[in-house]
Amino acid sequence: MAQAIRRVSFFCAALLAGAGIAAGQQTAVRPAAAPARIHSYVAARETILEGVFVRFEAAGSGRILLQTAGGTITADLGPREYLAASQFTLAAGDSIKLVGVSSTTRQGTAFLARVIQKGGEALALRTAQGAPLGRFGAARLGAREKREESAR
Amino acid sequence: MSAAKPGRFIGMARKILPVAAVAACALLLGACGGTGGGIVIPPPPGSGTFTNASFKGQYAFSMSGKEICGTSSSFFTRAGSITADGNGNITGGIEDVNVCSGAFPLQFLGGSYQVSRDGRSLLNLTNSTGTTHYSFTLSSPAQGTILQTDASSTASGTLRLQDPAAFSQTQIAGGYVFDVSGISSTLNPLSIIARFTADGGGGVQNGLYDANEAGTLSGQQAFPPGSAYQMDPSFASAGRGVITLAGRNFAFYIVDATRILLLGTDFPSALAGEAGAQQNMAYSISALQGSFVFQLGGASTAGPLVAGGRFSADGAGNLTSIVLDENNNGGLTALPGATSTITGSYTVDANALGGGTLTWTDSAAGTFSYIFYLASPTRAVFQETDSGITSDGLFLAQSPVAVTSTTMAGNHAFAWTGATSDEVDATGQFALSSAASANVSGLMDFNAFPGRVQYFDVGLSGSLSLDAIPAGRNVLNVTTNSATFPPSTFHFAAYIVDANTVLLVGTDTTRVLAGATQRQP
Repeated sequence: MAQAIRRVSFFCAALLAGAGIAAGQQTAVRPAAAPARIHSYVAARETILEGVFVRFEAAGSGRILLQTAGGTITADLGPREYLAASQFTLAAGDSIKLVGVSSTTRQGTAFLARVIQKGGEALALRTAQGAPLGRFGAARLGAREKREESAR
Repeated sequence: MSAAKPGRFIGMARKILPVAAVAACALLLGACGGTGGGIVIPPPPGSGTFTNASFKGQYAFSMSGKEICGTSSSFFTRAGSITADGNGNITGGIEDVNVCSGAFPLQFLGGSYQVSRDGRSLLNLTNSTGTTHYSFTLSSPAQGTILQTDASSTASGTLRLQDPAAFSQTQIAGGYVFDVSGISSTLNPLSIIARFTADGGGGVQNGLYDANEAGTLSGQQAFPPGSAYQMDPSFASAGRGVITLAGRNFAFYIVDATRILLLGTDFPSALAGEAGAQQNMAYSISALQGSFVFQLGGASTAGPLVAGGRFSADGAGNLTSIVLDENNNGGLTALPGATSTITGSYTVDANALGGGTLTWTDSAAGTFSYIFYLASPTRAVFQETDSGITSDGLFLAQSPVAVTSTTMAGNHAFAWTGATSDEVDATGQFALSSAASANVSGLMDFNAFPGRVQYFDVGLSGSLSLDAIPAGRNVLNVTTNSATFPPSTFHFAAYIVDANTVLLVGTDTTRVLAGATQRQP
């Protein structure tokens, strides 16, 4: 798969494009995003949650039950397969630490975990904006880093 | 073991999942990837008049899905053009892929296909890296839905007959709207909807876009300098070119002068979508009038999300008769609720270029907000703009002609895509009778990526149940009946565009699916 990426210069075409922009074009003002009606990730509200792993909420689920000093919390780790692919295992009784945001909706409250730590082992689960990494494949970022290294 | 399947097999070894192993699967589409078992005689294809000759000419395709990358799965996209000879052979073509190792074009060395009478078909394509496998279903000789069926990759999308007369820069002229979606360079879900004017000489004017990255909105922006396009002189005969829109680089494949498939090449970002011609008119509030059906797909911070429904616009900024089904990572919302009320409104941008906003508020479920760009008064690209949600799709005018079980009867191609613990994709065909229930019978192929298992010729039956007012929410339930496929019932809310087209939203809590059906000739 070592074919070069095809690159085409747009220089001349861009000059043509610039000449034709309509003078009257104005962007419309868009309203701000509506208040969250589902889980929403606001990084400024990140907290650290410590507790003992009880179990996964259901078979195949990436949601876990975590026993904390304040009671049992549901935490969302994202796709469970991502944990397995990252060789990050959880067993009942494990002490873990989560960094994330508690999000309450009409469907209940869940702690959206961005990072999970067990002992000296830590795994990023979400992007800084809360998107589950396992949903789209963190390997792409690794590939980019390798490409950038080889370019240097 | 691998078993050749008579009738629909074209020289590719396929796993037939043993019945015992399937029965042992506690979850549908779980980690049941074992080998072994016996030869399964597939059911005969459904009715229809398709043959290999139905698939002849140049076809552009676009897909997105998941691939194995190292030890985990990763989002990827592909778009390209293939030439079919009408006799089961692929004689050439090229595609662009955006995979976990980069974004680049690959030339096809050959391939083969076999079309069944019901339009369901098998395809393999060979390039310098190996052979990939697909199932596709033709809704007509001009278009169909396609599904990648490799254990290492699943993907779904469309394929369309190309018009080689449109393979020139001068044919890309006039207004276009587009919708691309996928992931950003930081792996956030990303959707961009936009409009622009192509001048037929490689220039782009009046470019406006709205981006939504992981629920963070750009607001409407003008295209930055550098927007332009040109044909690829090496592969112009495939309709391939390159284009920069909204500050992002794409490879494109021309279907015809009104439709262009786009594949983002700014790795590690990966985007796919298409641009469609925009009707040349000054768009105002009155442009949006009548009944519309919509469908959206994307992600929330909890996981995959799909939605669909319908609304009516009065041409004066007011929305009524709003119905919605949303499946957010298995959490279901149906509007209107039993006791709730909904009010809605919309705006069309003062610049008259077709953009606008649309909002409704349910007294129980809250506010749902969207933006759109109209391709015409009957069609738009559509993006949700609620906090924490990145999803996009389209809305289409709903036919005023009364839909009945009689007018809906016939053969329909269908496809759906979505996720359980990872992506699942299906394509197939069913016959719909004019009975009120037990009216669906057909076959599908299915790639269950969570278990890395591919299923072929899966029988299914069920009902499309029309509501007393079919313009609202209808119900499609189908149950599999196959020796190989874990017994399953798929539940959908069905929104009817017209007697030929239905948009589907999965309403199961164990999977998040969106799909569509399209009448066959």
